Amino acid sequence: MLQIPKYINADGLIPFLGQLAAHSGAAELLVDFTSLQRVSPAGLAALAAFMARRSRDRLVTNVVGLETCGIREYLRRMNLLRLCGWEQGDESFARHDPRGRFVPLEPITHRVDDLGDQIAACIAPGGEDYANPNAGLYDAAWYLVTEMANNVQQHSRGMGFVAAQTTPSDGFVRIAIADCGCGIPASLADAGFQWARNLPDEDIIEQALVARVSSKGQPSNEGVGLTLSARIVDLMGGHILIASGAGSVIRSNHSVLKKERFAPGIRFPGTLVAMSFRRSEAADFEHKLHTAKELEIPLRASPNSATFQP
Amino acid sequence: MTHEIHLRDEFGLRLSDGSEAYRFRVSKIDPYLAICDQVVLDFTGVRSANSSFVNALVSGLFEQHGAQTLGKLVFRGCLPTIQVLVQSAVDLGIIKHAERVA
Repeated sequence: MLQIPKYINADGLIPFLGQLAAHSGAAELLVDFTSLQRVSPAGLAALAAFMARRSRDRLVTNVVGLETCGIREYLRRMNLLRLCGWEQGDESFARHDPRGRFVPLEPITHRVDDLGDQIAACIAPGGEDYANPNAGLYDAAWYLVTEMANNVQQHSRGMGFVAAQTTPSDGFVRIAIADCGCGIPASLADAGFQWARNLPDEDIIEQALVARVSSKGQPSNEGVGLTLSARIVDLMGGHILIASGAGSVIRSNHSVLKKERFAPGIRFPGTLVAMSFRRSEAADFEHKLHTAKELEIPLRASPNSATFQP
Repeated sequence: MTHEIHLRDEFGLRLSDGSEAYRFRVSKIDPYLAICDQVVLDFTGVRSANSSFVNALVSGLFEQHGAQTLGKLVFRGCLPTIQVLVQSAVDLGIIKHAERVA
């Protein structure tokens, strides 16, 4: 049985991912929601991806405790119950206006730019207008979501989900993207990187944060999407967690890395990327994006300079 | 003959979808490189672009045709943040082309 813990946020997230990893291959699984009282967007996205993988693999999952779960209505509003197939038919509950507060779980099934606009508009209402005070936050959310969603679509070979949360005042923005695909270590090993077959998974994830390490194939990819996203979050004073396969990496406080490995023999099925940063730190997003690019992909004295016109 | 492509008209203010960029490159840019003296990719009015889109749009052109494409392709109206990505995608494509022909 998978007993969903009381809190899935902050320090509780990694142990929860370990729980999911430990149960990922169970032919039959009972999931108990009785104790759950608080869950972050990262916990929701990870759970949705976990359930999508079990469904894809035709593994049997039953659920108990939802009737008495203290945050059942929240789970409904965040689309978890519907996306996991635990609730069907017409909605019988009132939805709150999500703008400026939260982004319900969204499957990454449609155009990346539409998805980016939809989520950025929820996090930073009005920010699509360049003169709006939320413009920087809108651009930051749009950039981070579209880069990660492209990674899911181009590399993961699995279903992905995105969820987010924020507060109207200067609180934190939390964006999480999870997929049930092959995971970063397997993706890089398949792309022919020999070191990806030899290193521990947490070290492979760390390498994936280096520019120009990317799975190959079409569309052409330079492997800077995750690199730039992590650097931007860094420059905003936030932190990013990446869990995939047997390991996880947390980058925060200006590039301090914390690497962890799940218990021997268990692997998180897919990839979770969870980012958080303060709203006000995104106000000058364009400057931070430019700084991130200068740091990670500085313009070299290329012998092949492209022709640029004003 | 010069062929101009206005990306703002094709994709809007923000360029993000790598898969869409790849399809556009194959169907709307590649054919014109073969028959035109110059192809202009006009980014005027584009507010932001991510690396996935720019790589998918630009890198493959150089991966397929090599450095000779530099003489035919012009990038117009790029914001500084986009220009960094474009040059990086050009370099990547030329490196990949060299690997293919080696």
